[in-house]
Amino acid sequence: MPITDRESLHQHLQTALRIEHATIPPYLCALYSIPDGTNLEASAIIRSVVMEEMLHMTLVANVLNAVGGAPVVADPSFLVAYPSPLPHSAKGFEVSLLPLGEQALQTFLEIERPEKWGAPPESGDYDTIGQFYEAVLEGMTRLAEGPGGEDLFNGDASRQVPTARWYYGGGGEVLPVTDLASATRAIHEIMEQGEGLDHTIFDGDDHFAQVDDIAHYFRFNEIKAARRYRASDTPKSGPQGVELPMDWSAMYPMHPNPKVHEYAHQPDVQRLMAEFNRSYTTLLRELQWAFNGTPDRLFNAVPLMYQLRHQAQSLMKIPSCHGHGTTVGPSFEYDEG
Amino acid sequence: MSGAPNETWDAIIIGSGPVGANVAKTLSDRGKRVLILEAGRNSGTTYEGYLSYVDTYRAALVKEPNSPYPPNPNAPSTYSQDIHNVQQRVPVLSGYQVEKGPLSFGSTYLRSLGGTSLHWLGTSPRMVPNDFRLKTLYGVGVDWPISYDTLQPYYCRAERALGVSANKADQTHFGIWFPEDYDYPMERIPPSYSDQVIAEGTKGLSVTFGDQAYPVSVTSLAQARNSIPRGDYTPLGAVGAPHIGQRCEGNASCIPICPVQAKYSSLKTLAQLDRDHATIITQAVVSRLLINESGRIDGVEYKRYAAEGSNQYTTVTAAATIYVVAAHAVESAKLLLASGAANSSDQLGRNLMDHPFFITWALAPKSLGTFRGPGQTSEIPSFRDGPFRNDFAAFRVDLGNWGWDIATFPPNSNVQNLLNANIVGRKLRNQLGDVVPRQLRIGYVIEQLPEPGNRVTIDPEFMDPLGCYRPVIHYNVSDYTRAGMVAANKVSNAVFHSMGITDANIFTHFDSSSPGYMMYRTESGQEVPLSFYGSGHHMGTHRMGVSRTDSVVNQYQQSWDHDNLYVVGCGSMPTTGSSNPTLTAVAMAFMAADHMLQQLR
Repeated sequence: MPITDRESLHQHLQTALRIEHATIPPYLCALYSIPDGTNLEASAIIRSVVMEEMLHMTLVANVLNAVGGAPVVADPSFLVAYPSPLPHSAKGFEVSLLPLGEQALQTFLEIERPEKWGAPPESGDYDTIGQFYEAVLEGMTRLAEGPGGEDLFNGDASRQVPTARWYYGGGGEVLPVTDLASATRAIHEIMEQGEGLDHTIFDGDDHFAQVDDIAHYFRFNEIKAARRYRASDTPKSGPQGVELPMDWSAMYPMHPNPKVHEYAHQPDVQRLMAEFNRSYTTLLRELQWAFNGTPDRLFNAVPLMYQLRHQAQSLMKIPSCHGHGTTVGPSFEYDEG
Repeated sequence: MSGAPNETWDAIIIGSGPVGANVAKTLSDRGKRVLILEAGRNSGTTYEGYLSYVDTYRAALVKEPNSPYPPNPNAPSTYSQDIHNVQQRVPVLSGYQVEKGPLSFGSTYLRSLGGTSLHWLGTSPRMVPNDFRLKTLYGVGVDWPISYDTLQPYYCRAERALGVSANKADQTHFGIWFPEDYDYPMERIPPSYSDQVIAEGTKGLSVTFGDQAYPVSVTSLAQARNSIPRGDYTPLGAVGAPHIGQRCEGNASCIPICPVQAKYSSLKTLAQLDRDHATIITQAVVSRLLINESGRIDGVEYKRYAAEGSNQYTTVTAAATIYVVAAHAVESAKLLLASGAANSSDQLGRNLMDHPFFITWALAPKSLGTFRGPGQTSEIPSFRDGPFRNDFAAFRVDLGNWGWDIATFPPNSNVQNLLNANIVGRKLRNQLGDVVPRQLRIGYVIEQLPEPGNRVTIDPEFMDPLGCYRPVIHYNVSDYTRAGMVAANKVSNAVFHSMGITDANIFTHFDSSSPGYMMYRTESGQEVPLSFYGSGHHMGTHRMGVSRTDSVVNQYQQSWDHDNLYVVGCGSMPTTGSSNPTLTAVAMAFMAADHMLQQLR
C-alpha cells in the first residue's frame, strides 16, 4: 500500500521501527552465545552490527517524531514471536533466535541482503529492507514536495534524540531530524550501513565522519567465510583478506527459540527467563519514554543492556528441556512483571 | 624514519608516559621530527595485546598495581611484593629499587610503553593556588617559580589531552578558578551510592583544628575517565577498538587495568601521533646522555635489547637538537646522575616526595554498594588548604568505592577468614553479602615537604642485568606529615561517627611489620603508631626553581646547566600539595613544550 498521506507515512515509519528492532534479538542471541574471551573478532563484528541497528531505531524514531508521529515500542504488538518472518517481508523466510553458527549466519545474510541493482521500491511487502526504505523515501519526498508539504516536518524539536550525548560505541552518529534533507540523510545512513553503497562493500562515509566500516551484509559474510575483506575486494570476489579466527565449537549451544511456557515444569528456570524478559521489557519502556519527549531516559537504557547480557548468558549455561546437549536462552517475550 | 644512528631529530624524548607522549604530540603536530625512546616493552598497542594483559591480571594471585605486566629483567620495575619494612632488614634488596631507609618508599611505577598511566587510577584534580606558595604563606617548604594563574591555561589543555570528566562548578576549591567559557571536556562521573550515603551522613559536620572549624563537604572528583562529552569533544575509546570504552562501565579494576580503556593511558596519545613525524622505539634503555665540552647535550646512548629473556643488547647512539628526559621522577634523576648531567645545584635526585597515603577503615551500618565503579568518585576537599598548614600537612580525602581494598584485600581475605572459622556454603555467601557491601575505606593523600636527605642515588654495587643502575632510595617522612596523619585520623573518626559508625566498627589498625609503619610523638608527648602506603606519586627529584643554586630546572623545565636539555615530569614539582600529580605534570609539560617549540624555530 503506497504512502499517500501523513498517516500512512507514520505507519510505514512505525513498521520500519519494528523491522529494525526485530533483527536485534536474533543478533543478540548470536552475540551472547559467544563465551567471554572466545571468538573476539566475530564478537566485535556482531556487536558492531547490533550497535548500528540500535542507531537505526533511533534514526527512524527521529524521522517519525519529525513528521509529527509518536513511536510505539513498549507494547506486546511491537515484538515478533520467533520463529517468524520479519514484519512485512514478502519472502517469508523465518528468523529464529539461534546461537552463532551456520544457520544463524545464513539467516542474517538473508536479512541484510542488498537489493539487486535497479530493484523497485516496495512499500507493501518487500523483498529486501532496502526496497522498503526506498519506498519510504519516495513517499516522504513526494509528500514534502506536494501541497501542504511545508508543514510535513512539524514535529516538536525537543522530541529529537540528540547527537553524541546518549548514543556511543557504534559506527555512526544520531542525527536530529528537522526537515526533508536531514530525514533523507538519516534514511540513507540506515540503508548504507545495512547493505552497502552502490554495491561496493563499504558504507558511504560522505555524511558522517567515522572509521570506514563495511556494510552489515558483508560483515556477516566475513564471519561465515572466516576471512576479512580487503579494500580491493568486491561483492563478487568475496573476502580475500586475512583469516578471521573462529572457534565454532565454543558457542553456548542454545536451543532455538526458547519460550517461557516450555519451562512451566521447571519453575527456577522459568523465573530466570521471566527476569530476563522483565529487564527487556523495562528497556523497551525506557526507549518508549526516550522516543516520546524525554530523550534523557536513554541514560537508564545503558545499564539495562549490561544486565541483559549477564542474564542471557546465565540462561545459556542451563541445560534445556530438549536434551541433545542444548541449553536454555533468552526468549525476548513481553513481560510487564 | 628508522632510528638509524646517522639520523638527526628535532627532539629525542626519553619515556612514553603521559608526559613524554604529550610533549611528543605537541612537537610532532607542529611538524617537528621526534624520536621516543621507551625502555620497556611495546605493550597494548593492539586491542588483542591489551586484552592479554587483562587476562594476566585476572589470573594473578596478588592484584597489585603492576600485576598485569609481567616482569621485564631488562627494564625492571618494582612490584608491591618487593616492598618491605626497612627496619627489619637494611637495605631492602628484593626488588628493583634498593631501599636504604629509614622508611621504605612505598610506591611503584612501571617501565613499559604507556608508563605508569597503564596502572594509575586516573584521579586528576588541579592543585590549589596556595600550594604554589608554601614558604611565603606558611613558612614551610619552598615556593614554586610559577603561580596557579600561570599554569591555569595549561591545565585546560591537559584536561582535554587526558580526557578529564568533571563539572567545573564542583572544582572551585580554595581559589581554583577556570575561564568563564571553559568547562571540562566531559561531564562528571556520577557520584556513587556510597558517596551519597557519606554526604548524607556528614551533613553539617565540621572538624576543628586550632581555633578554626573546617566544614566537611563531599564533592565529585575530577578524573581522566570517559563520560558524557561536552561540546565538540569525542571520547577516545580503546586503542585499536575505538568503539569500546567510550564510557566508564564500572568494571572496578582501574588499578591496575581498565578492561575497556575508558580510563586514560598515554597509549591513546601515542596512537594519535602523526607517524610521519614521530617514531617510537621500544626496548631501548637510555643509559647515558652525551655532553660535549661546551655543556650541550649532543647525543644519547641507548641499549637496545631484542628479547626480554636475554641481556644481549646493542648500543646505539642518537642525536637531536633538543633532548627531553621524561622517564619518570626516579628514572630521570637516575639517568642524569649516571650521565653526570644537570646537577650543578646538587639537587638532582634530592627532595624525593610521595603523597603518603594514610587509610582508615570501618563497617557502615548499611550496604554502601561497594565494588561498583571507579576506585574513587568523590572526595572531601576541605583540608586541601588552611592556616593549619603552618603546623601540619594538608591532605585530600579520597572516599573509596572498593570496600577495604588495600587494607585487607577483600573479598579474598573475608573468604579466607570465614573458611578458617569453618563457615562454608550458603552461610559463607550470606556473611560475605552482609559484610563486604558495608566496608568503607577512606584514604588521606597527605602532603610531604621537600627534604634533601630524601633522595635517589646510584651505586655501582647495584646494577641491573643490562648494566644500568638500579635506583637507590633514601626516604623518611617528617613530623610535619606525621602530624598531618594524626589530623587525618581525627577527621576520619569525626566522619565515621557522624555516619553512625561506632568505635567498635572502626577497624583501622597499624601492623608493625608493614613497610609504612612508624611512631610519632605528638605535641602532648604521646607516642602514637601510624602507617602509610605509597600513593604511586613520585615527585621533586629534579625540581624547578628561580635559581640555579637550588634547583635543577627553570620554570620551563629547561636544565640550568644544559640549554638543550629539558627534564619534564612530576620530578620538577618543588612541593606536592595534595593533588594527584599527573594532571599538573602534563600541564607543566605543555608549558615546557611551547618553550621547546620556540627553541626549535
